[in-house]
Amino acid sequence: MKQKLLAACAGAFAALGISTAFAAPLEIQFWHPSLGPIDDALKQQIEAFNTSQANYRIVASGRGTYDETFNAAIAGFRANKHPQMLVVIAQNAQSMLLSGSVYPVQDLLAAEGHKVDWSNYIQPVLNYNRTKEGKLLSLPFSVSTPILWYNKDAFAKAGLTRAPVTWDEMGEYLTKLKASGMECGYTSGWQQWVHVDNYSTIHDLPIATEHNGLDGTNAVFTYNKTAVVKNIARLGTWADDGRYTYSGRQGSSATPAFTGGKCAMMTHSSAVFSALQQSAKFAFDSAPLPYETGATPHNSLIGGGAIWVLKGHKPEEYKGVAAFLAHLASPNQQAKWHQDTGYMPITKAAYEKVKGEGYYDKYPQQEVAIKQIQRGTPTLNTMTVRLGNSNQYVAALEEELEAVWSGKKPAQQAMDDAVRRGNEILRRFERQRN
Amino acid sequence: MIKRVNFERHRWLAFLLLAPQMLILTVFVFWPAAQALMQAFMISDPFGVKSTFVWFDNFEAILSSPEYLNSIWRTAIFSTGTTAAAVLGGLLFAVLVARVRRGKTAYKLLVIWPYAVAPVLAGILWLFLFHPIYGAIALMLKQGFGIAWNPLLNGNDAMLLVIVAASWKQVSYNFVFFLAALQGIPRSLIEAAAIDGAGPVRRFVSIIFPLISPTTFFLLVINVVYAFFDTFGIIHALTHGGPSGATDILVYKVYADGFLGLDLGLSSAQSVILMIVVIALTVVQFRYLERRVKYAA
Repeated sequence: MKQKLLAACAGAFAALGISTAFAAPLEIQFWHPSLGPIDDALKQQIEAFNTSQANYRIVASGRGTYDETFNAAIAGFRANKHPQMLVVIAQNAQSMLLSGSVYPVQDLLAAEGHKVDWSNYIQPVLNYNRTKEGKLLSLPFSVSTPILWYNKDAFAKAGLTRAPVTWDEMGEYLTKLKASGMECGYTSGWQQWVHVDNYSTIHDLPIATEHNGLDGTNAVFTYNKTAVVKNIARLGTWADDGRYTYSGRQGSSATPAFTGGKCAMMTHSSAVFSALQQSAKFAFDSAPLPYETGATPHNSLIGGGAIWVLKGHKPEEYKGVAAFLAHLASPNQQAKWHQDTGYMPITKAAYEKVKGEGYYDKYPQQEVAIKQIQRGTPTLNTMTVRLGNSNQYVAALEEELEAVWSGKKPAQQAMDDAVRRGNEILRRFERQRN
Repeated sequence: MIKRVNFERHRWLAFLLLAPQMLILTVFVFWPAAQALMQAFMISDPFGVKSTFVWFDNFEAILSSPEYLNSIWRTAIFSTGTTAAAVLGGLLFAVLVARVRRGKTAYKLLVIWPYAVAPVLAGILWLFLFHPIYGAIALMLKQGFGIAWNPLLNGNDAMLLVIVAASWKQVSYNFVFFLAALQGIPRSLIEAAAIDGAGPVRRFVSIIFPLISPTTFFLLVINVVYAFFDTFGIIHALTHGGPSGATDILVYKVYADGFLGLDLGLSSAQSVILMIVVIALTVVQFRYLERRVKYAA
């Protein structure tokens, strides 16, 4: 008797479970790095989608840093428990692409019947994640590009009224700023991204052969044979005479040097805007990255995360994924995302909307990056950097840059060493995949 | 006669009792270690799609790189420095606290405290205090003592910083053990020595130090293992192995190539080398240092 009762109860519970499962919306997993204060803005984007329809529910899960998120996804993929959507940092695009686990976003949206006018997107933003045939692989998400930030109060004290346009002019500015009593003239976040990658694209120079790796994994670094060396040598001189102060690798340690009023100028991601707004106690402004005297500047490169869709899930789930991506790309959501976070909008419609509402009259700093990225006509040198094992070659390059800043190596030798080490790392990447 | 449990008639019982522990060891230690050993001879992509057996290619790539040889040298400095600082620091605090009469609990609590701070968090704290541009302590060094402190570009400053940061937490750990050992020494011995006219230094050198030698030896082994294996988090938060490889110790390279760079073959080969080095070191410690340890009072 007792057993019968138990069985009946169990049956009732199971039935209850099934019926609620039928009524509940289909859950779709979205793994992303924890972006700190920006997480709230992401929650709002997802909430807006979840409440706008009843069929799907996006379950967002913050997985630590970009690296930790990527590692979690790889572990998930190996155990066949990977999410439908994953945010991956720009420089890991090549690893993703060759993993054989990617469902290209452009194919997905076409298959699910979303008619997307890709020409309405800001092209240099999409280019980073396109195949050489032009197919979009992943949807740019937390997009930024490096620009120049400067302390207007410090400029006024040194008698300067506008931002420097060329690197030569910047050198003169720094001399004046130092003379006016500024302790540190200039510092930079993401030194390699600014001074090797973006310096190259802005001057239409190749970083590596095979159009920076777009055409094949057999690419070889070549930046030790371009004007990059001159740029690094100049910075080395500035490091020596105190005009440039090195504040450490990656991005987080440069920002306090600027917001604390120590450094008058900083090259950094356009997305630090909200952080600067929160902690800078002085008037600041932004300007495009400087370029060489006499050069015609091209577009800069984007950085940050893109949303990749992974293979191996049910067809009805992909319907939901497509609907969610279309939701994220809509002008309203893009405009809100851009204003909430400081990341760039990815469609022209969103940009025009924000502009039409007068946002850039109030925050002109936010428009600089969008203009800079659309400068000139994209060439095969300025589309993307599609190279593998980026974490390792960037680390090797940063070691060599540090040798220049500390005066241990001349710029040419450091860049030659960085290229030698980088090429070994690229060859290993090739062997891993073949 | 030594008392011991006899399993001769119930052989299976012995295995049964050992089974849970063996199971845990197999799943969490032997299995991963075997995997690492296998990976060390392979080149594979991170998603596990392709794997090629390459014999000793990974080891060759590592041992032929000048950066790796630099890394071995850096590890020697770092491990010696960290172990020495942590063990001596712990001993010093333990001896001082053992002598204190008032507020012993408060001192104990304060010295143990750092052990509760997560290593990465500690790393970030140290970075902000010692950052050459905005670090409070760095500014003090510069303005107060005229020391141009810059761990971002000066390799020696960086090494000093990571040693202090890595041993800081470990001092607390060692302190607990040393304090317990000191409290285990019979008071009568020390009092007798004092009556015989031995001063505090003499008493420490001739009586206390030999008596706590088992603890010292144990901590030495534990701290060497800590310095070799457990310190990548602090290095990552503080220097990323920089400047120019000055703090690029072996375990950080394993972490950077494996976890950040996703090159499992290269990382596994390095961890195999690291394991051999640490096993060799531990054997040396047991064979040569342990002879000087007196286990019975």
